[in-house]
Amino acid sequence: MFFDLQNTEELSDINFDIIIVGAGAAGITLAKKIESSGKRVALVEGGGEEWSDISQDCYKGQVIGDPYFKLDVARLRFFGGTTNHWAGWCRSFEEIDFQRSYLGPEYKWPITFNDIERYKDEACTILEIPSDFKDVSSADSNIKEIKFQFSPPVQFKEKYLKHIKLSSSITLLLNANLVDLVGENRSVNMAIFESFNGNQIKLSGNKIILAMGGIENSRFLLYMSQKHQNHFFDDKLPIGKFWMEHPHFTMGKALVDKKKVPGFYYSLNTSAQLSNRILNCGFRVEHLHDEGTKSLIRDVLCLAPRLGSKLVKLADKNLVCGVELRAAWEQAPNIENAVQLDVNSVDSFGIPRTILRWHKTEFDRKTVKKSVDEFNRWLLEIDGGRIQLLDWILNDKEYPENDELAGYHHMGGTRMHQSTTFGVVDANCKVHGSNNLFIAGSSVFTTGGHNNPTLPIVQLSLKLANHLII
Amino acid sequence: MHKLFDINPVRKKYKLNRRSFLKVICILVGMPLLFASIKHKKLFIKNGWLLKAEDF
Repeated sequence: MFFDLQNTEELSDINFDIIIVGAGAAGITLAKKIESSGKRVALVEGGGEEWSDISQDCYKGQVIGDPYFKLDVARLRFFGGTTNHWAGWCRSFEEIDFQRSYLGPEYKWPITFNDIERYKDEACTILEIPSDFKDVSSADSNIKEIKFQFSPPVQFKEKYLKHIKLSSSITLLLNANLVDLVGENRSVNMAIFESFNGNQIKLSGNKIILAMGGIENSRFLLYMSQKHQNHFFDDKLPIGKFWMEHPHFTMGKALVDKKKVPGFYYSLNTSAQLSNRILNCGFRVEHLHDEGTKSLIRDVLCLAPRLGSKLVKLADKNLVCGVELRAAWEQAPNIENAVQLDVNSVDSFGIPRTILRWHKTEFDRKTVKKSVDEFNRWLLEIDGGRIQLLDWILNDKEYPENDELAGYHHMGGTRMHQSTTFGVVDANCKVHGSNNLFIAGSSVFTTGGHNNPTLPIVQLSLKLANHLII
Repeated sequence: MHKLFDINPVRKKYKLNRRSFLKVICILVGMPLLFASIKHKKLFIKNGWLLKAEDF
């Protein structure tokens, strides 16, 4: 069943078993999975079938801190969500990502790596990728070659819109923006939605899942907390806090021996991360064209003639390659990095807009610096090449502003943690203190790892769906 | 502390102290190896390139 609230004036209120708010990767995965259980599901999306200015405007907000993207271009607000323009990079969490509690209580996931790993195959099927992420590592090396899989990329709108519109178990509602929750005794009984032209509908549900996105989940919970004085969940939850991204920066260039450095993606193995007391960091080795390689060799010839002549000989045999070395790394969960409400600005539904406070910390700098050191040491040990670092990383200067900056990966804010001091949801993604309000998406990540979040989002959504079905 | 040579009290001749001799040999052989190893591992930074001594 399908309704567009914008074009439907007389829509009677309906009861559902589960109301899912937000039709992105998390919301659609949940709806599809729960559909087979026979439960009555409402999938409600604030935007329409296509991109629109009026919907996208709700995402406008302010960023305070390090240079970051405009919030209304960092994500998409229509059916399919940000899968409508993602690049398809997929890689799951790693075991070490769930074993960081030695760094502090805030790092402790209430679930294990295996709890989400069991959903990997199913998630890979959804994203149309092989479920093979076997890394190449050796015992005597601190660096391992890691494997990403690339989704076509699956755009959830293209893949699922038609099916969901025709589904007998799922009721799809578009242009329906969540404006309020109604309930009592820590239970939400009803969700109120409004269209851009003022049509309103009240949906009753036994369980409500917010799958609105890595910033919006925090924003809406903060708004509910402010409006209803934590009527629906525990007081003093760290809503919006410990927000995380994956900083993305260019480290420099390198000349590598293609036989010894055959891969495109590398990272530090677990023991190197533990011994350095740093978080996860991935390196991308992006091959340059011939002229780029020649230019680097010419540079080396002037500075280090012996190495230069060796490289020229290797280049003649097409065994050396110039590369750009980029890093994307895990950010430490920091309480100061937070989604907040802007008391001076509201969207078209009167909901305060977002203020995002985002800084990279000393710990974040330490992670990338030590990781580059380890990568360089490994390269020299295997005689696999030489790196030319950029000035900012070599001499510990400010981050460049004309680089990638980050990965458009919005994580944390409604994070999963056993304690209400460090988390908003429990191991089953239920908001602490609530009887039936759940959160889905990357906002529940306790730590962020260094990999792209889409695959874990789908894995965790399948886990939540499984929990709700049983 | 051992001397490199001891005087044999009976024959009144110098005798090589084997333990001290081995120490001297270890130092003579080990130090150059240690220095070579340090030099080998030392990074030389030129125009951002992280280079080794053998590269020049």
